[in-house]
Amino acid sequence: MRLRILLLVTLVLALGTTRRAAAQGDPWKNAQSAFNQGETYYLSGKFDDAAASFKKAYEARPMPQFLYNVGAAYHMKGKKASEPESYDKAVDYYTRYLGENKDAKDKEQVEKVIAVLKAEAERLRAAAAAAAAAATQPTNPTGTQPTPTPPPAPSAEVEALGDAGYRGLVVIESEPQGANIYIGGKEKGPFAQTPWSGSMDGEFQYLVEKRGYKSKEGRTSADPSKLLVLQIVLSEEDYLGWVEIKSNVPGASIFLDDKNVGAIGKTPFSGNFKPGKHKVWIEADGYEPSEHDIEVIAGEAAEISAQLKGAPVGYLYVRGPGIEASRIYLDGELLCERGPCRKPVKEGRHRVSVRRSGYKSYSTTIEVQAKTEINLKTELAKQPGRGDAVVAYIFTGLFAGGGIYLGLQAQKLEKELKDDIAAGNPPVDQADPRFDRGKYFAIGADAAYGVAGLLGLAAIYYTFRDKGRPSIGVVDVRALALTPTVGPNYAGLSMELPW
Amino acid sequence: MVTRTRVSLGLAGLLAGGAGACNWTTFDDLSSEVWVERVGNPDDSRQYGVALGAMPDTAKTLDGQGANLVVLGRAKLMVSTLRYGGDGKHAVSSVGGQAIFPAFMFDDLPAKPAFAVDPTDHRFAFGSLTGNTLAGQGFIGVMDGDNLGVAVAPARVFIGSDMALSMLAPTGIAFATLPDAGNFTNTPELGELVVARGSQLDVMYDYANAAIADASGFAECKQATTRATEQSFEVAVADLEGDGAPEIAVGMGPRSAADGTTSEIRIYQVGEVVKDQSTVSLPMNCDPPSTTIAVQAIDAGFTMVTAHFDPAVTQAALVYSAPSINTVYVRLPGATDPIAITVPTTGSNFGYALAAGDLDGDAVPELVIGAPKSDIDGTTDAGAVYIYRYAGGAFTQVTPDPLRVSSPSASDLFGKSVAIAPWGKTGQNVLVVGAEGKVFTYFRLPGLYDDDVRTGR
Repeated sequence: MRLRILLLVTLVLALGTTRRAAAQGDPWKNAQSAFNQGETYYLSGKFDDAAASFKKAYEARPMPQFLYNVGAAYHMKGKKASEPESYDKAVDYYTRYLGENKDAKDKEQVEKVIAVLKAEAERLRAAAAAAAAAATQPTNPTGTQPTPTPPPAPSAEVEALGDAGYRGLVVIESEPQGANIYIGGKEKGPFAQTPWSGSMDGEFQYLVEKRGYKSKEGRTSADPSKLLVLQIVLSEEDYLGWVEIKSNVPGASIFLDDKNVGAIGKTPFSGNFKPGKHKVWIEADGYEPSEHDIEVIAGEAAEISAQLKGAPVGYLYVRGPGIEASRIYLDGELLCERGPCRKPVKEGRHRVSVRRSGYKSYSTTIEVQAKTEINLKTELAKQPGRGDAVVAYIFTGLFAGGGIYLGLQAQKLEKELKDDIAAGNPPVDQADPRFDRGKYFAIGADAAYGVAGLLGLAAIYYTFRDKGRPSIGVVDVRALALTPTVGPNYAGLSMELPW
Repeated sequence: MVTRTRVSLGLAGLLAGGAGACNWTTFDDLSSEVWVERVGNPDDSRQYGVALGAMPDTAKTLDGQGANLVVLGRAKLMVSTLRYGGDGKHAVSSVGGQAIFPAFMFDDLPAKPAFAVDPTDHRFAFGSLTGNTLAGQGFIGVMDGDNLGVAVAPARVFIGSDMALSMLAPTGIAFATLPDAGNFTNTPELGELVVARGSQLDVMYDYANAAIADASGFAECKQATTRATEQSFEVAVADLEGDGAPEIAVGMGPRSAADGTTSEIRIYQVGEVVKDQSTVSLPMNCDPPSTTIAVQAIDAGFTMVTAHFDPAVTQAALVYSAPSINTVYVRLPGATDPIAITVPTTGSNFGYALAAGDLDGDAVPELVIGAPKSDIDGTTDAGAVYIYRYAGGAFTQVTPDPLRVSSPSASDLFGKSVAIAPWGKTGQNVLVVGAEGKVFTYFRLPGLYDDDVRTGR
């Protein structure tokens, strides 16, 4: 998001709870009207009129950007007419702009412009004096008037600056002022406080929140050449409670009631919570999670101050080609539905498995130590075909089927012989061919079952044997360095990860 | 049930419950439970079992507790003994005719060889033709039933100057003890043998006398014939008339259908056959038989046995068959007309083999009739054996269905020979049935002898 100099005020938006500045005496209305007029004059080359309009806008709302736009109008007038007076005015307004906007990010650039314009004004005046001296000389013998001297062209330095442009402006105000502005999500932390003005480009999401008031959020888009005013009226909140969360480790993730929905922000954090009992987790890498139960009472404030303690955990980071389609298990439990997977893991020996459909699983045992990160990079090999097993199964089935058939035949003959022996007529003799036939069937059945059994074992072996190249994994252990960190609003420990 | 080591693979065991596997030893166990033993095809005897004879068991057999069977095979006059121990285990010994009588080059036995057993003296006799070196002479061998391969007497060869008569193969043989007749005197310990061949009847007095030379010492007569192809079938000797003396019965019928459709059973008194010593080439004519029974079939007397269905009567009944008409006749003592036993199935050769003996232990013999060309369950010539019990002057079949092979095959010819063998251990007679290449021994026969002769259970 880039900050830019705004020249025109074009738009005032009131979104949802924002209120449109409709009243005639509304300074933003007047400023907007003047900004629009100034934009028109500026674009039509009427720079004095444009400067006058931007001055009116400034009078309506003293925004430094409007001073910049006045300076820009005089800058262009001076450049067009080579008027040192206009350059003087431009220098004056640019200087005022910097004076009212101490933190201007374009300060250095504006100061350079001021220097150039000052020199140009002096150069023009010197040229004008030289021209006047020449004018006091006697007329030429012919008595004719000398040819008027055209205005000098802008110096090379002025030309190098290019044309000055007016700037748009985004203004976010709230009523009351002093509300936190969040841009692009609360988890990124507060962006600024109202009132705020500056430059924005493109669509953005905002959230304005102040203790004791209902939060307001919305989405809009900004044009760097237009004036966008967000006036947000915060209504008093009488059914939410204000919660402030901080921790000894800045930037700790905050989870509310359900971890699965993700972190709602990072410490330090403040916001309105619905009344009732809530569970809050505050987690930071390398620290034991801190769990808090709070009861939020409407209209009242609550505070959580978490003291995170260093945990005997390390981190496991599993990655590699195709990891996004793999499941990662730790000690038989699903750790990540898909990779890449980075999770805290307790100290000790663990079994890590990476599984992917159609690929050979990879498993390894890791020794996790506190404040270290184990980087496991896997490369799963495709599961080879099982055609040999299928063939073995088919033959197993064929032999088993043959065995069943022969066995049934043997049993049939056995029953037949038993019945005939029991009946006694015709008496069965011991050399009845059915004895041999039945025996051959039975032996054949047993042999077929035996072969089927061997083939079955072979099929099972073929099914589970590991052929082809194995899945591989490379384990790398890195220490997680915790260093003292001090910031404008916090102090604590932080770590830098080398990836 | 015999306990055996079970061999099964683990997986087979796992699958056995639902997948139909069974242990192969089950079939061995089952086969040990059956009470019919099939012994088949020893050595090279292609048609093992064409004739069967049984003798009482003696200590000379396996253990004196089983049975002693003589089984004729067809190839090269193969002779076997099938000897059982009391536990039912058997041993088979075989010897070829060439080994017994090395002087003769034997041909194969005929499909229905002349065969007789002397259970008293443990001898058996069979008739055949000698080999080509002797131009195919009729031949009779008498063997020791307890010592396979040992001849009781020299081979008798019917050789004479009339080659046509010499070359007639014996069709019936009977051991006998005959009274003195003609020029012949009976020496009791040597015994007599009656042989039918062609239209002739040969009576060999004292056949065991080694001094009697071939073609001499025979009482031979030629029966009267009215048809060119009329020849004898089986011969039997017993007191058939109740006169206290044995008669000689012989079946006579044409070998060609062109010679008519009738045949006869001729019953001779010994004196009507035995006249004087004669030679083979110049036989005397027999006297007309004292009794002639005409049968409307071409093969009356194809097989004959004698039996005492009424143990109190010394006169024997004559049982003779006419397989061509599926009929067996029984001429009971004192009866005017024979009892005809027949089966409705034509072409079964009912009566091809006959045996009579007490199977159910009531001292009344049962009549066993083989019908080797019976079709069983659509199987051609599978064969069957019918068993009849005599009571009240009538014969009734013991079971509604005849005996058969439990798993028949075509041309089994089950029943082509039958015998009733005394089981040494119990004295129980057991049934033995010959089939094509095999012999079935029934250690138990429900309805006749229910206890297994091997175990007594």
